[in-house]
Amino acid sequence: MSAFLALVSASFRREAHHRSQMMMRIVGTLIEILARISIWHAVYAGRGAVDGISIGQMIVYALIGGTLLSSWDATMIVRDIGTTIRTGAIGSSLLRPASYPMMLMAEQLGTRLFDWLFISVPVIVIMGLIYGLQPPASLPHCLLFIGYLAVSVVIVMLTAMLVGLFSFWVFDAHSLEWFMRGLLAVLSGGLVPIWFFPGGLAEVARALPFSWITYHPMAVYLGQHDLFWSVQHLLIGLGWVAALALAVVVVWSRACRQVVVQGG
Amino acid sequence: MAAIISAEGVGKVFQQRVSQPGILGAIRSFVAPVTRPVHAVADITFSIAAGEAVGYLGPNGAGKSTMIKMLTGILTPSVGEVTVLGRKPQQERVANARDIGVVFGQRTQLWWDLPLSDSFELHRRLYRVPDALFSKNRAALSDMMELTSFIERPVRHLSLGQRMRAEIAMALMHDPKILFLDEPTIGLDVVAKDVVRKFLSRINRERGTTIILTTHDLQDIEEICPRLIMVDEGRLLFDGTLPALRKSFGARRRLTLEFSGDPGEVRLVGARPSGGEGLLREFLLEDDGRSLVQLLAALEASSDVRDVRLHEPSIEEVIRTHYQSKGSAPAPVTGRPAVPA
Ligand SMILES: Nc1ncnc2c1ncn2[C@@H]1O[C@H](COP(=O)(O)OP(=O)(O)OP(=O)(O)O)[C@@H](O)[C@H]1O
Ligand SMILES: [Mg+2]
Repeated sequence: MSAFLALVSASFRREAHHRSQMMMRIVGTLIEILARISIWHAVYAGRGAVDGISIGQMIVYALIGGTLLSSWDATMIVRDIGTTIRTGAIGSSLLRPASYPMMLMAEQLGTRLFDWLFISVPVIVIMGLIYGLQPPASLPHCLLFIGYLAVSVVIVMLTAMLVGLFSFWVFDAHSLEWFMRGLLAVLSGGLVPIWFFPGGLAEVARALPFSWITYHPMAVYLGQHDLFWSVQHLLIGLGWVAALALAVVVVWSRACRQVVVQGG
Repeated sequence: MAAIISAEGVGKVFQQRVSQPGILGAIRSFVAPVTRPVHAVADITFSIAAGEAVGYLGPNGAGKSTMIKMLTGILTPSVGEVTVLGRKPQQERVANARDIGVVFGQRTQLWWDLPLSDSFELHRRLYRVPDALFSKNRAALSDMMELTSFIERPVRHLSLGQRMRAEIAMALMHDPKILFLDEPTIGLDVVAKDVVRKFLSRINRERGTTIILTTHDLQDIEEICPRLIMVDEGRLLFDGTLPALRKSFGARRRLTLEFSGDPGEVRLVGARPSGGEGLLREFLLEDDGRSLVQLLAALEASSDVRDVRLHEPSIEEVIRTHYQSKGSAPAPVTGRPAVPA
């Protein structure tokens, strides 16, 4: 555990050394969120609510869903893993006495925490000041949302690791990366909330683990579900976490035999 | 002493993709990639006892790094078996990693953006080094490798020599039983090389840490490793001591004589003239172990000897002799100028 935390903290501090990128990333995220909010303004066209969702709720959805709960990081993780494998840098990790998926998880977690603190939070504060930020539906909903937030980040990382590990077989992971990016953008509900999906697709999307990345956490934040439903689905989310973690472990143990460390 | 590292009939075959020319070729190799097996390591057997220092030597592409990767558990052998401290390194990678230290000269184990001390701290936690042992090792190693002046600087600001010293120090923080080094002196200047060599042979002597290092710099081996293993094209060529290598590959000692006047025809029993003009004469000596005094006594010349030099063959010469006898002309093993024939 101490090693895990040490890795989290090291990768957090490593991010802090890329401070020059920070401003640009904040600006980039601001522009993206601004675009999303403008789109929703256009869609709503002055109507107070669509399908029972108010424009105020839609703005929070775009704001938090596009920052803390974004599935975008998955792409970065897949890219990171692919690069490590292609360049042979994975060798350095494998020399350490720790499980590779655990190390990956810890390093990615450090990066994510940094991004939340120094990119997501500033963006939420700035946009909140401009457009107003609707608070969570209730205190219990807020507490549950924190649980959902944790599930969301872990599902993003596990999905990305699962896809990234396929770089061991498919040497060029770029194709996988694009596939996953499109898939997650839609199925997480990050682009469009699943409640606006057509019937059948909505059913499927709600059941898949990806909807725990953006859609379910936001639905709970906005109080779309009662507390019983929210707790129940948090547990289902944890079930998905366990299933994905198991998948990562299995794929990794198979990949292990496949490892070809490049160069040197 | 019992072997702590052993390789039995070890081989490693890589499938290298063959790229085909043209767009059609690119498409074809995308649909059905053509691969060609490369035997990076072939049928190698050796065993190393605790406390030994062994140099693993061979030209580019000989399969040295591949062997180190198999011994450190990051590659599996295709055939045969490697055992390190009684374990199969790949199957018990984590347990193996805890007991060994590894330095890859071409790659860093340090955290690039963080101060050096952070990498050490992370190492302590990953390897679960007890606090007392860690502070003792950190102090001793920083002192020996002179790290104190830059220990708080980010690794990316360090010079190559500083980084390599840090790299080696870190690999020893957890008191590994074995230290693997893949080209630890690559790119270092003479002074830095000297520091690293002295340090490694001291660690080997004082702590009894078993050392295996690969290198292109033959002086590394002369100064650190009493035993050397020579490989080429994946195969084992030689395993033994340096003098034994010289003997078995037949590199000769060279005697240079300088006379005070024109010596005319110079004769020396058991030696072959190999050049020289004017006042200088050179001989290649048979491997008969005669001393300099005995050699001079056997000398027949019409003038007095003013100066004499006896050159032990360097490993380079030994290896060159080997390649020449094999009839292939490999790339020079190091950057040093070739010895005049
Ligand atoms: N991942 C890989 N895929 C395909 N072939 C490889 C791979 N790694 C090494 N090889 C091949 O295996 C052979 C041995 O490589 P290796 O890196 O072990 O050589 P080396 O002795 O360390 O050489 P050098 O002194 O240049 O570092 C080379 O022919 C190399 O091209
Ligand atoms: Mg090498």
